[in-house]
Amino acid sequence: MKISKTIANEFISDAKKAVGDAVVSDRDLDWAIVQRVQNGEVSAFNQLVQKYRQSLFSIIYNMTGNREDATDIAQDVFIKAFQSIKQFRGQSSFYTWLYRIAVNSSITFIKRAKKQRFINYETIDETLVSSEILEYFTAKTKTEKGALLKELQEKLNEALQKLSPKHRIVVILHEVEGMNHKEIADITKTSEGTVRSRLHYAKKMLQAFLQEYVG
Amino acid sequence: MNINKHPNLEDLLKVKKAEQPDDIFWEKFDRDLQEKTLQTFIEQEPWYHNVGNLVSQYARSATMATGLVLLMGVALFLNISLDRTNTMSDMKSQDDSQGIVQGMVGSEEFSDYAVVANDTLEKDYAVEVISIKGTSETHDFEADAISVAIGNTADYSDASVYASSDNLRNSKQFTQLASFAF
Repeated sequence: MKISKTIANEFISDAKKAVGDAVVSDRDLDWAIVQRVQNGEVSAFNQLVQKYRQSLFSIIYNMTGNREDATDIAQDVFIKAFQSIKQFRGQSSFYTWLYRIAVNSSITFIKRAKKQRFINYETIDETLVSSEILEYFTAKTKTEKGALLKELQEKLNEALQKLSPKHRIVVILHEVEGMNHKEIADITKTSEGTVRSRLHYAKKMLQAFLQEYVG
Repeated sequence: MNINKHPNLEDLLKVKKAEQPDDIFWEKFDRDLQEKTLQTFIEQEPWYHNVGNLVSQYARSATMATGLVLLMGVALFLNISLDRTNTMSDMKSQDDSQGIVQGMVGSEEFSDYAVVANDTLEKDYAVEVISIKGTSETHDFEADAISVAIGNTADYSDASVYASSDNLRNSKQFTQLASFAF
């Protein structure tokens, strides 16, 4: 999970104030902030929003395939989390709890809006795309970099949307967000075996959908 | 990755990570989130507030209902007390009037209507009773008139007849008619 240096430092100093100078994990940092919110320091919740909004939005965006829908759902997820924060007891890490809300909200949205969905993609930050992939495809297809990326983006999203929500979420959390099987199992409330099995099946399907791009 | 080597699926999926919104998007996101949060808390109160409101609403209604019932109860109680006082005074005045009536009934004039007078007969009715009694006495005079006519045909004066009866003033006509008949 990527967190900017400034935000991370801010959290660490806040958590040290709350927990003391002992070495603190990411989970403890979050728990300290959650406790502050639970004790009435409502503004502290904004730190959690700043920390997780990007990855949360990414998960929801890749699930729905639509920028506007993802924005609305992500905001609703934060509101839900804030409303229910008193019920969070710290038995799991905060992000597991938050992502679980996000996953459930996304799946509910997809089921409801099955027939009236349209695609509105997010812009691609070229600097973040592997130069090797770009070079490979530009050399192969003889197309301009921008157009190639646009095409890749469309094909990838199309392929992801062809997967069922339960297979899609596993691929997104593992391949895009870089979570391990245990974390995914916690978020989706399934066993690690189920996560492995779903991931295997989903990748096989994606391989078939994207066979002209992958080896 | 070698550019001559075909990229695998994992490499390709990394492109998804590059799909990230810019800073302008996040500014708007934060602003909208704040607005939404405020709206949510203005529009929807927590469930326990709703329960509290519901309970207080019921409590208010119940209090009003209880108050109304108590008020009605007090009014009813006061009404009963007043009724009882009135009844007592009515009964007293009724007893007084009954005493008067019964006193009158006890006398010779009211002896025939004693049963009626016990219930509701008032002083005014006594006058009526007297008039009824007078009617019955009228019939008695017939016999007296006949006996006078039979007993003394030569003497047509009414002096002796009136001397032996209380109400012979009304029977003068009957006496004359009887004398024509015999």
